Amino acid sequence: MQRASRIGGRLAHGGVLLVPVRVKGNDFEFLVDTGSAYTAIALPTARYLRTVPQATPGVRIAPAHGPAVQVPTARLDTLSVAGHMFDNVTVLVLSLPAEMQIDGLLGMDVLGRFRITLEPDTATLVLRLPRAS
Amino acid sequence: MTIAAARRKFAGEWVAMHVTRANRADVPVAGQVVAHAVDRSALHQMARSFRADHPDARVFIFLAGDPIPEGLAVSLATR
Repeated sequence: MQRASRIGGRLAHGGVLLVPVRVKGNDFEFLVDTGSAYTAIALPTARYLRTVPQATPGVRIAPAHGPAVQVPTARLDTLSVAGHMFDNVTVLVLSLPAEMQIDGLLGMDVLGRFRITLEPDTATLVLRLPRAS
Repeated sequence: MTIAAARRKFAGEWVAMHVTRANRADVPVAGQVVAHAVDRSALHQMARSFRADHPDARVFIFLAGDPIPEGLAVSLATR
């Protein structure tokens, strides 16, 4: 495994970065969200993956605006980014606004395992393994 | 077909591609389009059917267009 992976993604409206994330043999574009503690999948994506959201216990989240809400979670057997595979990942299952057609959010539970660099000018996310590993 | 070419050809649609080539970072770069549809759930149905016949296939599902419309600003945070 390379120590640094340069993941070429694309910028969506507003300059947010989308990168491919692999779940159960499928690649989807996830929004890189350093403001999110958790990785999340959109409800339609969960349905496609036949992943059953678990309302209990769920996770209480504080959206950027509005009151805290309780959202369901799901367990993904595997999730990989740039060939870095994670097993048994708990993700949020979110009902995103209908006009926001993304499949998921890549949060700090995954990003935090790396030294990350965002290069908006090239729509690239760079993941580096921590020095200790 | 490259992913970039598929984005141009099916602009505005949801696309499912059987990935045949990925780059060093394991990012899909080329493949065969196995389904495309304006409606996301219709695309999912077709992609699921393809995967049923090809369980080991790697499928890239994406919207060939901007998933965030102009006039909508994303401001997300979950904790």
